[in-house]
Amino acid sequence: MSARARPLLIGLLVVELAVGGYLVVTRLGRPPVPQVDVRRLPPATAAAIRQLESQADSDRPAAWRELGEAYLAYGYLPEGEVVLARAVALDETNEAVRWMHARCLERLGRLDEAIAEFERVASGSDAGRDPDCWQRIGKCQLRAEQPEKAIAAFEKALPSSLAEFELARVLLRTGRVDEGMKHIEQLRRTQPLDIFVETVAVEGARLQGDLFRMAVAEERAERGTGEMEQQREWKDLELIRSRYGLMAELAECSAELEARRAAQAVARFETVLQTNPPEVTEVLLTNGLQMTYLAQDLSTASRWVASFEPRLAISPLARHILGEMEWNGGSRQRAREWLAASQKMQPKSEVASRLAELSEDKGSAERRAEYRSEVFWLEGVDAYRIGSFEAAEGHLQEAARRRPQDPLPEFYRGEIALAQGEWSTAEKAYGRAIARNPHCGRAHDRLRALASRSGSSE
Amino acid sequence: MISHFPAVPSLPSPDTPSASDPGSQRGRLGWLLLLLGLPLLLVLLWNRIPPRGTLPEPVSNGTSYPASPIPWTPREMESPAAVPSWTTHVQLADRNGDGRRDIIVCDARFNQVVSYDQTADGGWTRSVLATEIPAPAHATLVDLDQDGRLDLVVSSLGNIWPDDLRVGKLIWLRNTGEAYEPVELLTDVRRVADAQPGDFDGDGDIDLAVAVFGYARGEILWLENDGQQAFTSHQLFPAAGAIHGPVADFDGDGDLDIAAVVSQDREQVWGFDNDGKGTFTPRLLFESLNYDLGSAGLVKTDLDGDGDMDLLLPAGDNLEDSHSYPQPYHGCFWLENNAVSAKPTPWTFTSHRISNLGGTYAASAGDLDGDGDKDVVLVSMFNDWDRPGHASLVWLENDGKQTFRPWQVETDQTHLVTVDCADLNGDGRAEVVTGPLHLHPPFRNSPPATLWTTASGKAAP
Repeated sequence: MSARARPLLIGLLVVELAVGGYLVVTRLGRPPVPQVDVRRLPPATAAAIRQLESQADSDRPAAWRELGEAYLAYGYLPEGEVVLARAVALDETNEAVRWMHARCLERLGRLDEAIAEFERVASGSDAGRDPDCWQRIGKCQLRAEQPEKAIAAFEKALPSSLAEFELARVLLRTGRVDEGMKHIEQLRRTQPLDIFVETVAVEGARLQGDLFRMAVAEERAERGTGEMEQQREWKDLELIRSRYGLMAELAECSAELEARRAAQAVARFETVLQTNPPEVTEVLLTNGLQMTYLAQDLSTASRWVASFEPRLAISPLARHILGEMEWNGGSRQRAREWLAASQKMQPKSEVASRLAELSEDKGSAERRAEYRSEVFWLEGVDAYRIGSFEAAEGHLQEAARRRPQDPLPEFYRGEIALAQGEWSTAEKAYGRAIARNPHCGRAHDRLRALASRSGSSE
Repeated sequence: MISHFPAVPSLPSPDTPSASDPGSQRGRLGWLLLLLGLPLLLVLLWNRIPPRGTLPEPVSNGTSYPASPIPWTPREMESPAAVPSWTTHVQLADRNGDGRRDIIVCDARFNQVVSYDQTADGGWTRSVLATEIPAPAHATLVDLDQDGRLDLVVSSLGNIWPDDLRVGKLIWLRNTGEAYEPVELLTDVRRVADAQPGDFDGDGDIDLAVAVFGYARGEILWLENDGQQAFTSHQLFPAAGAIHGPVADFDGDGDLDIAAVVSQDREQVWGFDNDGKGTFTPRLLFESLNYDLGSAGLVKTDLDGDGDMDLLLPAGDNLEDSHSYPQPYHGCFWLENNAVSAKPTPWTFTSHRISNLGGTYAASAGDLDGDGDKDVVLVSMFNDWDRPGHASLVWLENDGKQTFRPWQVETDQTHLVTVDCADLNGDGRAEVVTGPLHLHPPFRNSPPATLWTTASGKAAP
């Protein structure tokens, strides 16, 4: 070794020792990762959480964030808050992390801290988050029973539909009915036929004493969809849960199904059933049976049912699926039993239709006619709910003919007319419902509402 | 300089001239090992370096209280099922007219109504009263057709999970003397949570107040009986989340009124003031703009013994969150009826928060300590179950002036959603029955109903 190389090596050694020492001291200074009791989670999910805990020991901000989000999503809120606070401390400019920290504080009911954290996010560079922040601040202020502060926050979150919905609602409930109704009308333009908007419209009309407008909103709500529901706050946590363990395995099963590999989906699901505690299998069983239906795997379905039925009630949908599979497999008697049990608990037009066919087998004209009339009735209501008024009218007319004592087909014909603004047709239909059965209270209510329409602003 | 590193024995000497010198080779090897070995050692030991930093301790919102001075003994009415119970309602009532109170249970997992009947020797026998009632939420004991036999009116949710379709039913289990014959009283209705009897129009037959919980849509109805048990429904209030509709003469004018709690996106208690002929005027008795308060039920009781009917409002239902957690505003409110003191302006209620039990789901009032006043028993569905020691069953000792002191009875049986109390053995102290609804983890297998008796408690006529 040359004399020139020696100092270089010594220098390298000194640098190594210095860097190493620094790293060791830094590493020693990291905090321990808070651990949670994962026994309440399905095994696969528990393993995923343990893995995240291990990763967070690296002290990387992203690892702490991921762990904190998982804790939040799985309800380990106190630990989640501590972990997310650490993630914020490690990456102070990351607004996404701060947002999750604020969400965790909110769910813990630490409202002042949550509001402050949401405000910090709102004052950051990502303007796209601002409406969400003000929406959440408004919700926190409501939880703190501070309606005026909540209103101010929701106004800052506009034009977010969710904030406008909250704003309309709190305005109604603090006596500012006309202002609230203006927001409802605006929401009706942006969120047409939303159940939640229409139910608040019912509330507004009631507060205005406008029976007719109330009836119109009620009818609209009956046909409404739940778009607003999809925007609600817990959806983001569902997304987080779907990344890990059991939920991830189920997502893989779904992916197999989407790729039209039903048999593989069933095989994967079998593993899911076997590796998760019995507590979670009842909800899963129906999902699994849907997969066996797509795979036309009656044998597996029967095995699962035989295994679980002593411990679990088989859901109406599961019974329906089993009935269809038995039908496809040629066992009409077993199909009839499953389908009749399903129909008894939760009537569906498809099931009634199948049962009508099975009754033909059995030669029972009376039962067949009964099921056929049920098909017309149920299909009529289904068509009405999706706004296919012409089809609905046809089915309900036939149902009314076949069920002369039943007021409901005529009541729903009245609803179709009400939806289309045909007041006089509606009145006649409600009248026919009452003629069939004077106990049809809903028809009486509607007639009263129609009678009051001259004073309505609708 | 070199002498500063005496600990490196293989360091070559300055006068090592030849690369082929074995000493020189050793020296190079030593340097190589040292320079590579140190980082390698650090890498190998990296995960073993213990964390010496600190983080704040996680703070639980869970609530717990001092242990009850009165010891309570649990009696499981049957062994825990292989899967966690979905009990939606328990009550202590004499179902079969033998003079002894029985335990009637609605079981939403197996879609049945079950009775544990008390026998003369203090034992219990189980019988299934009805099956295939989808998600029964409440069974109300009433002689609906006034034939001298107690029937049951069962409120069927149709689906225990959130569902906005018209899947509910109201089913009359008509007591024929030999069996219960199911008769559908109300169909094409959303999830029905409760039905309470009363003659609202003064015609001598039994009408019903019905809470249709639904999900996004729901309503409160009263069903007018035509005397032949054919019912006309009248909508009292259009709103989702109606849970219970207790019936009493709340304003002291001699007729039966209806109260109802409306949860979901409202947190309100309404009174429906009857004119005695079945015409009702709605009156808002309680409201919170905290839509997450989690109202979970409504119980009528004259808590202060002043002769008018008060209400208990347990609050702690945040089922909308997949993993619910106790909140600082959860607990139980006593809505004190001022009907007697405020005459002639009835329908004024004063709210008092009498408990902060996290996840409070149900309440019942009775004299639990035998001192002559009414105490309150509460159960929790969502306390902090991840940590031991948080209360699932507590009782609030009334000092006779409606100041309440909480005592903890149970922590292990979690997710309790229903409670009732009554004196089963005539010792002047009420026994308690509870039931769990394990929709969310942690799942702990527990029996569908547990009877809690005090030391002197033996079931007897």
